[in-house]
Amino acid sequence: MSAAVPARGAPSPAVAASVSGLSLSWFGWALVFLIGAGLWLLLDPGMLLADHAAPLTVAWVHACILGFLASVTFGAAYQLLPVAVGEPLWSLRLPWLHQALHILGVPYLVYALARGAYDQAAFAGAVLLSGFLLFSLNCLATFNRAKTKDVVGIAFALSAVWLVLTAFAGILAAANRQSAFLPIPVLAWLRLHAHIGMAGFFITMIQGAAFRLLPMFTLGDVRDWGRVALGLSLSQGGLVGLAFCWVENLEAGRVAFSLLLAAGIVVSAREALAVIKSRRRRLLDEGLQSFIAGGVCLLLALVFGLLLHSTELLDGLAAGRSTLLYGVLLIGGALLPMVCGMLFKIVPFLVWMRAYAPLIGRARVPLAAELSSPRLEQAWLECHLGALVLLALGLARPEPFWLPMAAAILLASQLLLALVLGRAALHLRRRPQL
Amino acid sequence: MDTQDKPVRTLRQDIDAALSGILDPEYGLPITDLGLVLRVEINGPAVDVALTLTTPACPAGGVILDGVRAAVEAVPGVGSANVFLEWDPPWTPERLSAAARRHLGWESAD
Repeated sequence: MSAAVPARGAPSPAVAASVSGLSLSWFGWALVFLIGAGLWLLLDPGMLLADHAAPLTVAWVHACILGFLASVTFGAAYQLLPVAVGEPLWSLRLPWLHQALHILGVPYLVYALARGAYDQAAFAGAVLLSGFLLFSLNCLATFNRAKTKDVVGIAFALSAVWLVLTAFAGILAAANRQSAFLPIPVLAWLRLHAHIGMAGFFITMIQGAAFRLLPMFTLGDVRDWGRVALGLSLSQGGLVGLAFCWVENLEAGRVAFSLLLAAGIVVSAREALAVIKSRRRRLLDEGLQSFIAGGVCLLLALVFGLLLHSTELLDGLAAGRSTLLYGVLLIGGALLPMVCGMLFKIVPFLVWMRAYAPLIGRARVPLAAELSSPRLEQAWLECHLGALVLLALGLARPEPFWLPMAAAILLASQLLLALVLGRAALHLRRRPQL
Repeated sequence: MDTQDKPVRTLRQDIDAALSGILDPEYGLPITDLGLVLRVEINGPAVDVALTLTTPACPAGGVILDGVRAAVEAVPGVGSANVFLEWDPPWTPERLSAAARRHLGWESAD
C-alpha cells in the first residue's frame, strides 16, 4: 500500500488542516472586532462629524482597519502565501503568537487613541509591531525558500515590509504627540502613515494575491505577467516617492507620485479584468462580484484621492470631512468588499478542508461551494453599500438623520456577514462518520 | 483481498467509476471531467494513477491525491494504488470534457 505524494508546494492534509484552523481563528477574531466597531458607531455616530484627526475618529478607524481588515488579511495571507509561492509556511507556530499579540494590541491601541493617551498608544503600537514583525519574518522566510520568485510572491514580501514601516510610522506619530520631535507637520505624517498602510500593505498584497486567486476561481488566465509586474512596480515607485515627498514636504512631487501610484493600480486593475474576461467559468459568484465591486470603488477612491491631493482641500473642517469621505470610499467601499469577497470564497473552502477533506474518496461529501450562502452574501453586499451611501451622505450633509441610520444599517450588514461565515463554520460540527 | 479473477476491462470500468465519484471541491466537477486523470495502469492487483492539477500549488492537491488512493483501493480487485502527480504537459482548460464545459457555462469553440 503506497502513500499519495503531496502536490508540489501544497501542504499535506494534516498541515493543511492546521493552517486552515489558524486562518479561521483570525477570521473569527476579525468578526468580533468588526461587530464591536459597528456597535460603537451605533452608540456614537456623531463622532465621525469631528475632524478626521480627532481622537475618537482615529480610534474607530483603527478598530476597523486593524481589528477587521488586518485580521482578515493575516488569516488569508497565512493560507494564501504557501499557495502563492509554492512553499509551505516557514513557521506554523509564529502565527499563533502573532495572533495573541494582535488580539491584545488592537483593543489597547483603540482605547489609548480614544483617550488621547498617546504614550500608551505608542506602547500598544509596539505590541502590534511585534506581531507584525513575526508576520513579516514568516512571509519573507517563506518567500526566500520559494524556488520561483514571481511577482505574486514579491507582492507578498513587499506588503510585509510596508506593514512594518506603517507600524513604525504610527508609533512615531503617537510618540510625537507626547514630545514633538518629528520635523514635519503632524497631519502630513498621519497621511504618510495612512497611505503606506493602505496602499503599501493592503493594496500591494491584493496586487499579488489577485493574480493567483482570480485564475483559480474563474479558470481564467493571466495573459501578460509583464503588465502585472509593471502595475506592481509603478505603484511601489509611486508609494516610495509619495512617502519621500510627504517627509520632505514637496507638494509638486506629491501630486506626481500620487499619479504614479494610481497608474500602477490602474494597470493591475486592467490585468485583473483581463483575467476575468478570459474565464471559462461563466458565472461570477457573489464573492467575485463583491471583489469586483470593491475594485470599482478603489478606482473611484483613486480619483477622489487625487482630487484631494491636487486641490486646496487640505485645510479646515470641510477638508477633514472630505478626508473622511475619502476614507469611507477607500476602506469601506474598496478594501472591505474586496476582502469580504475573498472571504466568501476562502472560508467555505477552509471549513471544507477541515470538515470533509479527510473523507474524500471514502464517503459522500458536499462541495465547498455548498457551504456558501449566495443570497446572504448578496444581501450583505447590498446592505453594506447602502450603508456606505448613507454614511457618505451623513458626512457630506451633517444632519441628525443620516449617520445614525447609516450606523444601524452598517451593523446589520456586519451581522449578515457573521451569519454567512457562521453558517459555513457550522459544518465543522457536522462531519459525517466513516 | 479479492483475487485477480476480475477481467481487466471490468476492473478498469470500476476504477473509472470510482474516480468519477471524486469531485473537485471548488468547481463541483468530477476530476475525470476536469481532465485531471492522465493515466490509469493496472498491473495485477496494483494500480498506478497519474494525476495532474489545474494549478501546481492547488491547496486541495494533497487531499485529492489521498482521496483518489482511498477510492481506488476500495474497488474490489484492487490490492494497492500508487497515485502520483505529473506536470508535463501542464493542465490546460482544453482538457475539460464537453460536460464540464457545459457545467461551467463555457461555450466550446467547436
